Amino acid sequence: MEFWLFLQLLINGIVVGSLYALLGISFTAIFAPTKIFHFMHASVYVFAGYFLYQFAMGWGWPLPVSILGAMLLSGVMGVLAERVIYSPLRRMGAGAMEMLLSSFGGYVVLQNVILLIWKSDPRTVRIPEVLKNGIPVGLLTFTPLDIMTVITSGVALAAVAIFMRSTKVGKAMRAVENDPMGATITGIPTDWVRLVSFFLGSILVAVAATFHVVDKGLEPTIGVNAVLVATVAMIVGGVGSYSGAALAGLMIGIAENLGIWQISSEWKSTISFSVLVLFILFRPRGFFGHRITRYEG
Amino acid sequence: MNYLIYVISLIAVYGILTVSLNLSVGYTGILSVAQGAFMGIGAYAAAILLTQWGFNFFSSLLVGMAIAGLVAWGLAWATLRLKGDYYVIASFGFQIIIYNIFLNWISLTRGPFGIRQIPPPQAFGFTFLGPLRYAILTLGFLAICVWVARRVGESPYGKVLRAIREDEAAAASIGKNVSRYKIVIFTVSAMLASVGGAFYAGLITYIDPFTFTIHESIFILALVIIGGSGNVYGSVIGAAVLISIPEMLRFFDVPTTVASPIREILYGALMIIFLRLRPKGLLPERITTGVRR
Repeated sequence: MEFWLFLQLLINGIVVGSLYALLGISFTAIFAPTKIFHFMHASVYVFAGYFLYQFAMGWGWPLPVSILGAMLLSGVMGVLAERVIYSPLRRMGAGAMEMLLSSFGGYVVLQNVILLIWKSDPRTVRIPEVLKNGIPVGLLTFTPLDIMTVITSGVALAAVAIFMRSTKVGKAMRAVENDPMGATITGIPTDWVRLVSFFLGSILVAVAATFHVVDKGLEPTIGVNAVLVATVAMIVGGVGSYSGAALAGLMIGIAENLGIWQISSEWKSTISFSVLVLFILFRPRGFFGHRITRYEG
Repeated sequence: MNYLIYVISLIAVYGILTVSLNLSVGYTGILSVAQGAFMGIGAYAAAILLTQWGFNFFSSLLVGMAIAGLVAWGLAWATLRLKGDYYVIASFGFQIIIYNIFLNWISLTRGPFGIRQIPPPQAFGFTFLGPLRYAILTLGFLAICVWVARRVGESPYGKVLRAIREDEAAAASIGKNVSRYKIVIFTVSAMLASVGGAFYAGLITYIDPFTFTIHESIFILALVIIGGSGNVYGSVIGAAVLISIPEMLRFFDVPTTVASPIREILYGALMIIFLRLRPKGLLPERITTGVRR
């Protein structure tokens, strides 16, 4: 019995963890090349959910179209954040602290725009019931939605990995990450690369938001926790390592769900924060150490 | 008239909070988004001790400061070895944990119901009842906090803090124990924030967890930036301006569901505009060169 419970919690952990993995790489995709602590990512996450709600429930678009539309608009929001907030500051020669403070300001503005447009009531996006019906396997249950979550995250992670390794843009992003000045000198259009990384990170976070919203519903406050998880995953995985962030996200999801075994679920974020503190204390470079070391060799 | 006095008390409360955060953000360059949490610790300590344990306001103030100080010391010790953004993440996580404790430790904090009917402060048989007495008391404590902050910030000690902000390695290279300075100033900042929290609880007479979220922390940060980071008086001015202007919205016929988002959009936008056009804030930092005797 205990064993089945353990297995069930493990499966739940993998489902949640695969979304955390997505959050982790979405934040890494922005932070690694640009070095901006993009707190507005929280708002992009929430906005993605509300775009989806507006398209699917408000205007009755078919679900796949709504999801694509929400992803696209989120990507545009990420690009706008860079153009409107960060790039003018960068041209002024402002430091990381000013960028982050502006990001907080932008977050507050966007968060309250949501309150003005959609009010603070919880919303749900309806999906076909079949997807939410549990399939019993022995003493375990999981839903088709769970399977879709894991598969979609896996595909997205693989796609990002291939994109980073084999495409010109992906390579340019890694070049900018390692040495922005050197990248500029060799003729890489750094400004444009930054826009791409904001676009990529924002559509990835929209995918994570979609699964969260159809499963658990939508409230204006869900973004902060998402960004906390994303940043913890990034640090625990070793900043700049996409596979590290993904693995760390998965691990946090599993740790949270196994934790429910002993601790009540309100303390979930406490668990992820404890993981962070442990890593900061004992392994500040994350799982895999810093990726930079590999380039130097 | 009472309303005006209430707004003055509120300005004094946020003045205390802003001055406290300015010590770590403005002087030392430790960006923290946990000030709302330390404010909450002070507020809850005062509320719980006053309503359930029959403490005096001023002794509960000391208890709150002690708790906030200990917690801050622990957090600083564990995480201040991180630079820049990483430290922010730690304070961000800490803020969320403390909020979760306020919300979920129901036997202590009454969770989402909050704590009501927090009694007014008393000392030597004198009750600070009524808005005017409370405003005078709060302003008095604001003055004390400003004095403490200036003693710390505008002294040789403060010069070291600024050196750490500008260049940690250089400060360390002239023999300054950078981590110790950071831990001490962070602890002092948290203790002052808990004082602000206790006065907040006494002023509103009702607290719930939803006040002490990351939004509150960002709001206090905005006050520091707009007032002028590294300038104690700037913090007081910042609080005065950003509390009083939105309060005027009350005189127009705007429903609260619209007024409070508009107020927040205003300060978020002001924060961005100031960082772009006047990063030094309303009252810029004044750096005295040389040694005055």
